[in-house]
Amino acid sequence: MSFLLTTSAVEPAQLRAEEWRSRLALPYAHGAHVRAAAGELPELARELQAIGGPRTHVTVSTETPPDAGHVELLLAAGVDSVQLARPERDAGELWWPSMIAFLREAVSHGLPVSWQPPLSAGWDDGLDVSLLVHLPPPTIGDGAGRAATDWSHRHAPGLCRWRQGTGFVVVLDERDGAASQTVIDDPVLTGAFGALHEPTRLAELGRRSRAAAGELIEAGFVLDLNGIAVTLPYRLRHWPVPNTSY
Amino acid sequence: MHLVLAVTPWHLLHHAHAAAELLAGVLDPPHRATVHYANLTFAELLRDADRDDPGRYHRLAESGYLSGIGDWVFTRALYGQGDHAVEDARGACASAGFDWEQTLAAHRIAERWADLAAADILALQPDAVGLSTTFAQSVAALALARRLKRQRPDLPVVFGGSNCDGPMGAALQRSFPAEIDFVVRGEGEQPLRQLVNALDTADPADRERQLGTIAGLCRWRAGTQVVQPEGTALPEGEELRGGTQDAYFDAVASSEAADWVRPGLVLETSRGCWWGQRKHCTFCGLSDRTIRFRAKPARTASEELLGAVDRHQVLDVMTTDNILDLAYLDSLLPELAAAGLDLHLFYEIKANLTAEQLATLRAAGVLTVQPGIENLHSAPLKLMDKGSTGAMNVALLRELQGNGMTTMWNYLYGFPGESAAHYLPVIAQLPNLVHLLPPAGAYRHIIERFNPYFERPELGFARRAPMPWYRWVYPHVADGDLDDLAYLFASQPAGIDEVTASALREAVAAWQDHYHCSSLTHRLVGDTLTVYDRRHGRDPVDHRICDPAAVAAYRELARPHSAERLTARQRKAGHDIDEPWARAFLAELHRAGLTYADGDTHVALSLAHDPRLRRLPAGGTTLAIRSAEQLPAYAGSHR
Repeated sequence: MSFLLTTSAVEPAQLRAEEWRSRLALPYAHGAHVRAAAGELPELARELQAIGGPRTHVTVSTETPPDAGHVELLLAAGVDSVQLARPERDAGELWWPSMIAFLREAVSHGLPVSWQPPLSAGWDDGLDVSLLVHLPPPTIGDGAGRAATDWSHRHAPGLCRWRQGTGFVVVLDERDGAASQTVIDDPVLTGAFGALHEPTRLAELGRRSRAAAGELIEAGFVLDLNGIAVTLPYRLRHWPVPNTSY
Repeated sequence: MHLVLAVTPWHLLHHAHAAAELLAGVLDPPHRATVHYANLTFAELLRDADRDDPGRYHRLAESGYLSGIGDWVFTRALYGQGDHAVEDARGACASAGFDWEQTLAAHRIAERWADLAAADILALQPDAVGLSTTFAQSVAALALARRLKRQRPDLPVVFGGSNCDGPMGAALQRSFPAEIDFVVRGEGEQPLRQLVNALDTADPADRERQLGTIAGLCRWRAGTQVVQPEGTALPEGEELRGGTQDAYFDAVASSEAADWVRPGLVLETSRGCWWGQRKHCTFCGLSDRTIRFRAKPARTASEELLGAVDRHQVLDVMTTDNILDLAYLDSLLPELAAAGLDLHLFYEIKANLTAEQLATLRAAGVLTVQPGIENLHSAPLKLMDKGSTGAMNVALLRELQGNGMTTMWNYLYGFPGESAAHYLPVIAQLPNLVHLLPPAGAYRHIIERFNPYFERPELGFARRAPMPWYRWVYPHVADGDLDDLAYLFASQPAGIDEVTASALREAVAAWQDHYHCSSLTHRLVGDTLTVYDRRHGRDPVDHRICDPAAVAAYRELARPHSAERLTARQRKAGHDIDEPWARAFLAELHRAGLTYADGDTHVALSLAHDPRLRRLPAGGTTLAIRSAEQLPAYAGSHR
């Protein structure tokens, strides 16, 4: 009698968008590649969790990045990685701030993500890639351009992260090659740092918060994309093993 | 009186000197104490000599103790006759892997350091100076003391610290009478307070009377050494208090070292060892005088920790405890978890903590632990009186990895009574453990003063002598005094021979090389358990277990079981299996490399699948520029 059924590492099954609702009910021992729309992610996460969290890779067809708040849901449901399809048309001014927020939370929670920039030419106009090198770079394809190549070459996990203290946050920033540690303990600044995790129009902020956001933008901790601000460092929730040099 | 407590090299740069900081707070008013971090001055001088290598101080501080190189660096500053014992030191450097030219440069720089440090201390206008000697601080302290006494012969110089415990402090004072006026032995709060009060007493008779009441004090009376018996009274946990650490953070902030040192907090939440009280691990160098376990009340520990975090705005905390107080699992640790901070705590723990207890530690921010694993075979562990088994240790490594916690450990060998039969089965299985964090290395254990191997020669080390380097570091010390001064001892090798030891070291090196690219995880989906084997050196395979009894048995093997015990557990859970079934099951898992076998006990090796777990190469990475300064590689022994 044999207790183990041993096979070469098995590629997960491929499921089309319209299939996953019916077929995920089966026990996917080897997991699945699932295609879903961004709006379906909470429902997909619920379904996956109900059957024990099979090893699942999700490809999200979306014109706008998924809600950053869905990252925890997907991980709890056993999702191993998320691939975001390339948006096929110009998705508007919120696309980049939302994508940065999603990437930031994915890195913070440890969810591997691959993604592609919009097709439109000049996608990186006005984008300071040197501030984003702590986030997963876009998948480099033909004609990706210098910005994506730069991002990819300079990327390393852990280059810009923050930790919560007692009424202060510590930002550890190594994006420019030198390590610096900044303690933010002014309540207005910490308030803005936290609030801008959600992309926010600067014009909608009060005078003090806008001034605080300006300081954080100056420090490179918040990105201003045509008047929409978003916090860049990710919260250090998961440490590598060993962590002796982190 | 103004007491200056000077911290000499090789105290690590990235945290305060816990003992000096707390002792600075115990003096009776109007006496006061200043903690002076002279170790930072030496780090600056080394950095000036080679600006591309800020890690040199750290490397020597971490690894220069056992070889004697750390102490040797300061011998030129102490003896003042040019380069000292060059050929011996060159050989020791070669054996220990230090760059000779760099180390010789440090040896020469040390003279300038001693001059500068003495001037800095005297500028503080002290009425007395205290110097702590732990690990490789003794010669640096002596070099400093020599200069202080030359320039201020009236200045009382007090030695203390671990290198002064028992007969060591008295021998050090006998050997360096011009440098050491007093030696405080044992835990210092009470004797130091008494000593400062006595030194401030004008009436010679009264002063003499007071000095005579200080337990453990070594002093001079009319040119004759007086060695007072060490006391038995120790502060209770409720009496323990920590220092502010202000002096350290101020010193770093005004030092060039601020450019490359990321300061952390240090905290003492307990003293002694509750396991050692029951069974003193045979290789552990904790003194029986201070081994009684005493923990601070959780409320005090919490207030001190969170208060220090708030005061210094630092989230990395190293505790000096020899072992975690298990009561903290229900008090201090949940409170820290509830605070919602991103702490990084280091604790030494006992290796038999459960998965739930480890999760409690992780939730509180305990990210790095030293569990005293030491070995993966039960027989040597029994010889050590560790109170754990090989399979328990492997289960612990697995759980720590699964919780994202870093484990500091060494593989120790060389115990009287062990044999190759206790190592060869382990060596054969180490490739199966490649997905778990490897030890820093495999080392023959060393005899330390106070450990049972030292105290009880009948355990197997009948003939012993101070490590050879003591002789060339202290050439003028008489043989008898050298025996009393030494903490580390050499003896005839015991246990396994070099052939087996070499095979173990090679297997550990391969483990270190391949850890970062290996994983072994499992997932239960529906009724099927799948094990994903992506360990280095194997074809990537998936193992599926579909039989409900087999799935349950595999999950039961998260804890170590023999076939007999596994059968009993499974039958109790309602699975209709017998012992032949369990034996066949264990044999098949073992053939697939999915279990670790320690005698007839087996434990499963796979971790629950979690895409968030990230491995870095064992032994450090280049992610953080200031990596070398952040956390020490902890040695296998307690001190």
